[in-house]
Amino acid sequence: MIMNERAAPTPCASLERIERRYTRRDGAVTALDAVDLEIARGEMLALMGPSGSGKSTLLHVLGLLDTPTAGRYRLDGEDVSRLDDDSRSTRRNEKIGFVFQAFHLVPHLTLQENASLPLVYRGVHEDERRDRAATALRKVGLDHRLTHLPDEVSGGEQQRAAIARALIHEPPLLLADEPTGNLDETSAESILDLVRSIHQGGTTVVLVTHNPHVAAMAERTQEIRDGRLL
Amino acid sequence: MRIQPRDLLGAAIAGIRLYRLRSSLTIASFAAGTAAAVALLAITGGARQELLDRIQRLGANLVSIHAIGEAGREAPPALTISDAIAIEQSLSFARDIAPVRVVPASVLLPDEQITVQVVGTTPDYFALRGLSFTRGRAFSATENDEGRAVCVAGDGTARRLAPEGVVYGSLVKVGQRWCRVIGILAPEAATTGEDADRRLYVPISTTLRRDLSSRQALGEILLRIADGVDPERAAQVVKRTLLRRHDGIEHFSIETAQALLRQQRSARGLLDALLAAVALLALCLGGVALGSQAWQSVSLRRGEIAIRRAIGARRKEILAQFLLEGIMLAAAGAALGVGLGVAGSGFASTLGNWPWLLPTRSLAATLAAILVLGVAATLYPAYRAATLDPVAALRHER
Ligand SMILES: Nc1ncnc2c1ncn2[C@@H]1O[C@H](COP(=O)(O)OP(=O)(O)OP(=O)(O)O)[C@@H](O)[C@H]1O
Ligand SMILES: [Mg+2]
Repeated sequence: MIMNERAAPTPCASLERIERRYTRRDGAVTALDAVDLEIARGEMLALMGPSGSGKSTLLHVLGLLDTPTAGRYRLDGEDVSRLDDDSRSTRRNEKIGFVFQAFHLVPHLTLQENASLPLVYRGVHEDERRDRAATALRKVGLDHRLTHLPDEVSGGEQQRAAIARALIHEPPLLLADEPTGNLDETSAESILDLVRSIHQGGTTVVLVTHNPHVAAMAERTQEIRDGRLL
Repeated sequence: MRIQPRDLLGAAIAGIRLYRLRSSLTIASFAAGTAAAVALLAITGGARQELLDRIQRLGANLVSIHAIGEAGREAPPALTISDAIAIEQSLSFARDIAPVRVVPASVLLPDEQITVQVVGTTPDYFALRGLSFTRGRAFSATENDEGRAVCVAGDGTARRLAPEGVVYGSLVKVGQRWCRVIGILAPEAATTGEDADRRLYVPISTTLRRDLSSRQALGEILLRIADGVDPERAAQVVKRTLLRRHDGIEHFSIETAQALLRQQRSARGLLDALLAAVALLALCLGGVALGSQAWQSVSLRRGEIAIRRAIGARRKEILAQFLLEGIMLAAAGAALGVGLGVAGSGFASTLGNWPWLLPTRSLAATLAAILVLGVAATLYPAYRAATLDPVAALRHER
């Protein structure tokens, strides 16, 4: 047993011949084409490629938000290729943290409410949610902005709140899609510091970026072009 | 679902508060529709209760014939004693019959004088009207036939005649004659309307004494028909008999329980129709307003929905959130409408002196229907929200 686990520790995520094809009236678009990818536990992977190459699509597939049209996906040791929508939602809630380029906070909820949203769908009681959200927001340096609405804070602060939301339920896998794409350099720097410290805390991170300097902080960089990994 | 009901409610309330003006308009439509429906229920409910009371008083196999209008000095009276005798003798289904003659008269005790309605009738009357006695008895057939000087006092009359003492057994002067009080009626329930309480009953022959003509006018004839005979058909026969005796002139109306029930439908028909139309229109409007609000809300909140889905909300949790928004808007409108409807119709019925009764079952059914309308109006938008593709929505919301 022990020998076995040492020999082949289960990867955090493993993709086999993943294909994501959009069928349209004027022909098919293959956003992902026979993608084989293994992401080890605790690893930080940078995903690079030109616009339209399929980075976001791959991230969405990894995050169970998008369903591949072919191939096999094992997440945290479980084959999730053919799960129904409810189970995929549950897995998203338990295993995935998303950070998007456009922050995607709910505009009419405070930062604290936004950060605690994943816990709502776990049935966690409001008092506990409030405490945990406050803690998570303190970790990203937003303890003075708990009751602010997203509109009332800067882009960098919004992205930090989004990171707090992604991490509040301590998911094993953090997926960040150009998290600094909408930010000025200083804010971007602090967000990247945050991502790095999260990775150092043991969370597996996949980071989509255009910026080679950003990619440099990852242990591994994966290039993608026209839906194919290089 | 793992989301707690409380949080679902919170999400729905937050959603409603996003569009206050639209929400208020939707609530107002539902409130107007509910108020009209409640008013309709209360007014028809009151009318129905009043009718049931009357039928209860009348009895299912009772036929009552009323004279219409005052008989002029020259004109022949509308109903006469001989009509009553003809009905009793020629119609096989006639069981008990009580001719009723009502004359206002002053009634005198040695030291007290009041004016009451004096009713001349036969002993059967008390049984037919379901009147009971607290003291004494009805006058007998012999007393009636011989026109003896006896009388029965309604409870109210007895009190007025002798506020402290006991009128039973004493002599009272009715018109020109002294009569002995041989019976006191039990008080009538206040709701029965007809004031049997405030009357004095004498043998009908007493009131006819000075002119024994059988053509003297009657106000009413009460007739109990044999069990198993259709009151409607009996009424038809009575009507034909009377028409024949009065040269085809219909100076009377015949009431049966069934006829009352039929009248009920046309009574206040215009108001009912108006209220029903308002209720229907306002609720349709509310449904459309709610549906379009939900639709717009879902389109405007695609980003929010996609985020909730991305962090793990299940489809049914999104569906429930948006359905609950619709149900709450409908329920808020319905609650407001019940208040308005009860207050409004209650006020109107006090002014117009209509009976008012809100039947709880119909109210519950109406409210359930309104909630169903709320669900129906929101169902499709909520379904669209639940099945929205989060990837497409997130791509769109940049
Ligand atoms: N709904 C869709 N229908 C058809 N094609 C689509 C659809 N969504 C995405 N695509 C295509 O899939 C490909 C990959 O898109 P994706 O968003 O993953 O690229 P990306 O690498 O993230 O680009 P960017 O750097 O601009 O964000 C693109 O060519 C895009 O046009
Ligand atoms: Mg992208």
